[in-house]
Amino acid sequence: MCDAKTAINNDYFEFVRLRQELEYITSPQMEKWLYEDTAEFELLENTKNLPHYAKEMVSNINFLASSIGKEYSLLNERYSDLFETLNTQSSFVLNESNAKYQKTISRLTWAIVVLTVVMTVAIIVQCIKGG
Amino acid sequence: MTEDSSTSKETVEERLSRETRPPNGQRLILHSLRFAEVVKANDYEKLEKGLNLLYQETLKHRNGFSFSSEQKNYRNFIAGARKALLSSRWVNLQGFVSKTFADAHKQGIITSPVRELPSGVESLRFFMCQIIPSSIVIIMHVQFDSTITDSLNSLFTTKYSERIEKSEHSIMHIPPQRVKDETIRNFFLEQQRTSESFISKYFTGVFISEKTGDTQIKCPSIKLFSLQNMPFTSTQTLITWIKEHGNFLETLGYLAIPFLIYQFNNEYLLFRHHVYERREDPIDLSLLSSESLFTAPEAHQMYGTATLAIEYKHDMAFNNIMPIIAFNCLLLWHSRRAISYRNNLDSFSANIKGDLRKKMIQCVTQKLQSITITSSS
Repeated sequence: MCDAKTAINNDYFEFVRLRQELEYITSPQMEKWLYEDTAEFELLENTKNLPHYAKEMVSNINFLASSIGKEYSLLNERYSDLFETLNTQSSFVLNESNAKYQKTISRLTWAIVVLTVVMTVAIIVQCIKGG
Repeated sequence: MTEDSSTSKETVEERLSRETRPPNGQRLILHSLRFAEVVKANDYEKLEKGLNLLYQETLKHRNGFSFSSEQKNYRNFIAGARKALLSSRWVNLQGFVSKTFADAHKQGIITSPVRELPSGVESLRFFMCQIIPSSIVIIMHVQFDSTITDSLNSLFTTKYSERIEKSEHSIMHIPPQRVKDETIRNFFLEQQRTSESFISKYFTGVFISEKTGDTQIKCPSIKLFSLQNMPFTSTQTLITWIKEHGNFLETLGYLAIPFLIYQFNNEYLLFRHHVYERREDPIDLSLLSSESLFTAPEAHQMYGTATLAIEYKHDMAFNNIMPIIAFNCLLLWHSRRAISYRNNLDSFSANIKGDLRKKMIQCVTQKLQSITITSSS
């Protein structure tokens, strides 16, 4: 459980950081710097006036980041629900086993008390006989 | 017999075979392959160790070049990357030339360290950049020797037969043209797989360490090809040429549709849409240029040969586009992780609940046993 939670959290944290960093370098004020000295490949036939290849890739970065962000927020919601259920589940199992354990302990205590009484009586009887 | 006079008599198969070769008896040169790997901040130490090992294995060659400054460069770069909060640093490493190349040019001056490289690789260079603080993008620039181009051109002229694939319920006849396409595509993939496998012995990043099928390439890449003569005179002439030689371009694995092809500086075409595209594959692009554009005296003066001019005139511009492509692939990697969590969440929870119960029962049983033993003794 912990391993799974750690894996998801690590990946989520890494994604959030990556997204923030990518948002910064692809922001309108930084975009020019990103394309500086970068090959700007233009479409041969560009009737729809589409951007150059690097710009298209940047818009793809933003689209992918937003889609993964949505996926993770759904996952987070679902995961926290699951985690709570598991807590309840584990507490339930624990309480159940504790109750069983307590019952067994009390039974054993009674058995020991009875055994001690029987043994004491037996010793006393033997002492009287011997005396 | 000339190509024109033969066209009227040729069969459909012969025509297809001709149309899927480089046009007008030209030779298609595969110059190089660039592929990008992303190394995350917690793996910088491993990257440095890997590069150290790569340089340690350099061979002593009579005309080989010292590499101590190279090591200083990447060590400084990695040390800086560790401390970076907001960074845009880069370093260009000369890399290595192969022993085969150095042996063949004993009289010349070799300006890079010499070492064993995979067969067909003439040199290996590195471009490392840190555009975002949490990772380094490392671009491996593999330059091929003429043996690779020879092998490639022989694949275009080989006669292919249909392949029969039998399955439980059917028999598939794969036509010769498809067999040819697959063979050429596999040849390109093999070049990249060999280079990725070579690098993986020294360091790995997000892409190379990902577990995929053995036949797949892992890193985003750009191959650089050239023909002797292509009409870059005007866009319209180029479009006409592409339409005429569509079958040849599709043999390289790309759709030859002008509104899906890019051009740069009236010197290079960029192909990105594959004929058999699978969206989950890493981005795998190709550049095609013409040697005839680089024969001017200025190009010779600056780069020595047309081949070197094709490779180096826009070296930086091509390197700089790689991180943008790499980040796209990195996000795709993240999307695969997120989706795998989504798809496995339910089985995950069932397993966890089952395991927890088992563990509790085991624990209680053990405690009861120990109590019973203590009380009975």
